[in-house]
Amino acid sequence: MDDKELDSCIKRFKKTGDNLYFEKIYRFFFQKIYRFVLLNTSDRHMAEDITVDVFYKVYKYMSKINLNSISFKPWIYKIARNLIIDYYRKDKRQIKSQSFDSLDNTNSINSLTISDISIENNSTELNEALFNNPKLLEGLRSLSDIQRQVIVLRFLEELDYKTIGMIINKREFAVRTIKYRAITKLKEKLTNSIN
Amino acid sequence: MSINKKILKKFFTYLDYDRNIEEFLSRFPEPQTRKELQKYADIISDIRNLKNVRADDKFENYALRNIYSRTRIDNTEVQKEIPKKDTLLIRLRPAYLKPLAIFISVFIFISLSFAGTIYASEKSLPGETLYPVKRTTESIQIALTPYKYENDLYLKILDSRLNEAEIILNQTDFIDTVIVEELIAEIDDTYERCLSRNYFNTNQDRQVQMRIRGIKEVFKGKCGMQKSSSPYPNQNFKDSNDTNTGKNENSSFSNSEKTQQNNKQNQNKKGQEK
Repeated sequence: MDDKELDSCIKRFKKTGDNLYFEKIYRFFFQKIYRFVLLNTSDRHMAEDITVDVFYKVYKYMSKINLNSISFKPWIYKIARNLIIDYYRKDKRQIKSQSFDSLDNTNSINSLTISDISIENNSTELNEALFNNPKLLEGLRSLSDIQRQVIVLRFLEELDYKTIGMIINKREFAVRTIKYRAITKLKEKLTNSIN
Repeated sequence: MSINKKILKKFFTYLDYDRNIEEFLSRFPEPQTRKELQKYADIISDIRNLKNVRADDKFENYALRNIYSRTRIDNTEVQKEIPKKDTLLIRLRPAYLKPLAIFISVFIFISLSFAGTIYASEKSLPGETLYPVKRTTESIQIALTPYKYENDLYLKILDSRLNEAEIILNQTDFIDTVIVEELIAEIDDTYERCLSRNYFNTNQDRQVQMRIRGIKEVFKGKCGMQKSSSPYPNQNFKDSNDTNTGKNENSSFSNSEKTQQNNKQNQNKKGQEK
């Protein structure tokens, strides 16, 4: 989908409120957002819930906000990012209450690995991608949240630095340095694990 | 082995735009640095391979239907809600509205409290804390009313003075003589003023005279009871009785002198009693 097409879709959805235009946008962005959320939450079910929430919010507010093709991408990723943060806040509280009940932390975030997800999941493509390189995923998990988000947005979603800066509320230069540190950290992790 | 930061950054820019790495690597003849750089390139290509991560198509369709159903529920709920009234204050909400509202509320509170004290002071008697408030409001009233209409106001004031005196004298408790004497002097003063300006009707004049006389007699009797031990009883009131006949024009003057004398005597008497 080009920028022009996206622009026209947004405008027409605003004017007519027709679901057809929303569906076009949805089909284009769904897998991207899902990927972004999954790599940042390390929980398949949670990722599914969050992606549905993201598009629900997009549907609800798209006609109320002035958007164009330039501002749409950062907006949608920002919604996803904020919902992930919300999820972690809620989850921390739940874990606290659970740990008092059962006196073990098996449900905590740290014990959930992406490799666990791949065992749960039966869909073939996801499994392949995750099984091929479990070390890389572990390395990704060792990064901080912002570093991981920047890496995913830059190399998977191929957004430019300006839009990434708009998503994570930082300047272009800061985004570049975060990327640099993230890559060096990843490399260190991976070489250490091999040795 | 560590690589120079500058070289690494340059290499990353190459990786960023997915350019051909071979060209860049050919600049470095040493095999070790090549290996290291190749590792970085591998990592990034691995990350790029994660694009294969996908959600189920079934889930994609299900999620779309889910979103539509949720929005439909929302729309029905919105229709049930009563739309908010677009009142003028909500629509035009300038920045100065809040301080203005605070100022107005404070102003109303202060003015109400003033009005309350003035209203409460109307029933006050001489010697009470609110009595000066009453007197000042009266003087303000006199100052504000035009000369033509001062007639009623003076009569009202005279009436209220007489009422006060009667109430005080009807009390069976100990009477503060200084205050009552001042009051009587006040009454005489206003009475004289009313007389000189011809505010009275014929009947009114007589009635007021009767009331003044009654008050003075009662005061005389009570004072006599209280100060029977004093050496000069009732000396002052003979003269004041003469003024009641209304023939002396300078009686107001003489009255004020007498009240001063009275005060002094009273103080002396109190000292003696102690």
